[in-house]
Amino acid sequence: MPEQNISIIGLPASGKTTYIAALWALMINNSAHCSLQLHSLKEGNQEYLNKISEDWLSFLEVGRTMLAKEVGEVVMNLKNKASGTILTLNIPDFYGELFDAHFQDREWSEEYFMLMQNSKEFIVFLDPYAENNIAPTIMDERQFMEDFEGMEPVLVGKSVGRKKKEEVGSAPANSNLYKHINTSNQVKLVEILQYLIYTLTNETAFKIALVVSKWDKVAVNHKGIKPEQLVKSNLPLLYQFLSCNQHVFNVKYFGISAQGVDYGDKKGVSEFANKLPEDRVEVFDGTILSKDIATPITWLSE
Amino acid sequence: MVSTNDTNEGNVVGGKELQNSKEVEKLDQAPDFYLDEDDSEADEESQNENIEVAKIPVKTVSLFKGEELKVAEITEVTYRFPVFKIYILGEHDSGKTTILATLFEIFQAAPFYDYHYAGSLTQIGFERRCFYSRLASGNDDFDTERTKAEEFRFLHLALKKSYLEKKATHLLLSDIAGEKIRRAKGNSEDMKDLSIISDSHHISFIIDGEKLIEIKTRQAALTQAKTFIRKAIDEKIIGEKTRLAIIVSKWDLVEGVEGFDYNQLLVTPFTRDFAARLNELDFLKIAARPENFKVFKLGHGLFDLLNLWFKFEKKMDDPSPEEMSSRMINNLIF
Repeated sequence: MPEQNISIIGLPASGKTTYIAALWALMINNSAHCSLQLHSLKEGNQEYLNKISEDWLSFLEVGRTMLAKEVGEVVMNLKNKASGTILTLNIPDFYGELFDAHFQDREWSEEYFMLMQNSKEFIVFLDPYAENNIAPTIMDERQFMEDFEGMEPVLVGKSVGRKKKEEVGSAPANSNLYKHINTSNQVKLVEILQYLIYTLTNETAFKIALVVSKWDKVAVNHKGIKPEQLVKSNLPLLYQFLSCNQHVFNVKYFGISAQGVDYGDKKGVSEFANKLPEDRVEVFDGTILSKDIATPITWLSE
Repeated sequence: MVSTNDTNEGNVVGGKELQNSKEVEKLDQAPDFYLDEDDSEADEESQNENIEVAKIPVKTVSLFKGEELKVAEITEVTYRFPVFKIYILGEHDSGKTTILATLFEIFQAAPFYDYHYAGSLTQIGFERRCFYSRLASGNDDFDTERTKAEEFRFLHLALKKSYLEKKATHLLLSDIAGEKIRRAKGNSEDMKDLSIISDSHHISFIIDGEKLIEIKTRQAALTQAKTFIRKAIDEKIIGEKTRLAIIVSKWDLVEGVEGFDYNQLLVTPFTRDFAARLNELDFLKIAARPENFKVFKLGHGLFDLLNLWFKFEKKMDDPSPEEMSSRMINNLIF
C-alpha cells in the first residue's frame, strides 16, 4: 500500500506542539479511542517527542526545552487501524519560526521544497486567541482615538496592544518602517498556502485539515459555534481565500482541545489527572465531538 | 528560470544527494522559482584555506516575492491569468494609496458586499501600503509613504463575486507618483511615458477633494484634472476605447461645503468636454477613510468603484498557450 506524507504547518504558538505531544503520548499508549496507531519506532529521532509527551502527561507546559536546530524535522510513522494504510506525519518545525522565516525571506530550503513536493495533505494549525490574527484597521485606530481621547494606538510591536499616550513616549527610530511583524497571522497563513499552489507541481487539490486549537475555551465562550464559523468570523481573509479556492484546497475544519485543562486551574488539573490521558482530548469536526485525537490525520488519509 | 550553479560533482543540494536524475529534471522544469546558491559561505571558505572540510553550499528555492510588481514583472500574473489592468492616476496626496490600502483592509475584516478575496501575489505590497497609511492616520505629522515611483507599480488582487463562481477575476491595480502626473499634463515626453495606460480596462482619475473645499484652490484643482485628460486624449494616450472615471476623494470633507455644486463644477463640464471622446465617463465620490465614521462608513464609494472595475465588456481571453506554464494552478480554478 502506498505511503502517505502529511505535513504540519502553523505559525509560532498556534497549538502544534501541544497537539503533537498529546498525539505521541496516545500513540505510545496505543489509545483505544485513536483511529491510528504507531507503525514503527525503527528509524528517526524521538527524543523531543518523548520529552514533550512526558510534559503533556505530567500536566506541564510543553515549553521550548530544546533549540529548534536541535529538534530539527521530526517524523512519525503511523498506521490507520481500519485500512492498514501507512502514513508519515512530518513536522518540519515545532516552533513555527520556519514559517515566519519563509514569509520574511521568501525562500524554502531545497530539503523543505522536496518535503512539500511529496506532501499532498497538510494540517494547518491556528490559535483562535492569538492577538495578531487580524491587523487593526484604520477604523479601529480612529474609533479608539474617538473613544479614548488622550490615548493613542501602539504603532509598533503587537498590533492589538494599546498604551496610554504617556507610556508610548517617543517612537523608536525605525517605527515608521514596515516590518513583517506588522503583518497579521491571517495574511501570513494565506501567503503560506499560496506558496503551495504557486511553487509546487500538483495535479490534484491539496487536502487541508484546518485545526483550531484551544477548542475547550472556544466551546465555553461561544456555545454552539462550529470550527468553520469561528474561522469565518475571526480570520475572515483566510476564510474567504479558502472558500474562493475550493478547487485548489479541499478543506475540513476541526476544533481540538489537546491540553484539556488550564494548568493554572489546580482543581481542574486534579480532576483531569484522575482520567485516562486519552480522555483529556476533545476533537470537534463540526458535527461529531470525539476523543480521537487522530481525527484530522485520519480524514486526510482517506 | 532556474540557475543551477552546482560547484559540486553530482547533484548535491541542501546537503542531500538527489535520488535520481528525474528529480533534477523536475526542478529544472519548474518555471518560476530559482535555485539560489548561497555564495557567501563559499566565498568565506575560499578565503580560509585552513578549513579542511568544505561546507556544502545551501541551495534554496525562491518563492514569489509578494512585493508590488514593476511593468517588466507583471508577467508573473499575466502568464497565469487573464487580467484587468486598472490605472489609478492623480496628483500628489490625492488619495491613490489610501484607496488601495483601504480595499485590502476591508477584505481583512470581511467580504466587501458580494466581493470575496481570492488571493494576491502582492500581499506584501498591500501590507506596506496599509502600514504606512495607518501610521499617517495615527500621526498628523507623519509624512505618509506616498506613491513615490515614477514608473507604474502594480498590485495583484483576485476577487470572486460568489464562492461558487467558476473563476476569480484578477485585477492589476497600478498607481504612479503624483509628481509624474503633474508633469505629464504639461510635457509630452512625460505623457508618452504613460502610454501603457492605453491598454487599461479602467482608468480612475482622482481629484483631491480637500482642494475643492476652498474656493481659492478649487478651480486650479479642477483645471489640473481637465488639462491632464485633454493632454492625454490629444497625445492619443487615452481615447475612444478608454473607460474613465473622475473620482473626488475625501468626499466626507467636501459634502455640504457651501457653494459647492458637484454637477455644475464636475459632471457638466467634464461630460461636455470629454464624454464624446471616450468610451465611457463616470463620476464617483469616495471617502475611503473618512475622518469619522458618523456619516460615512470606511470605504465609502469603493463598492461603486469596484463595480466599475468589474464591468465586463467582453469575455476575458485566457493567456495564450505560450504564456501558460505547466503548473497545476493553470489547470485549476483560482
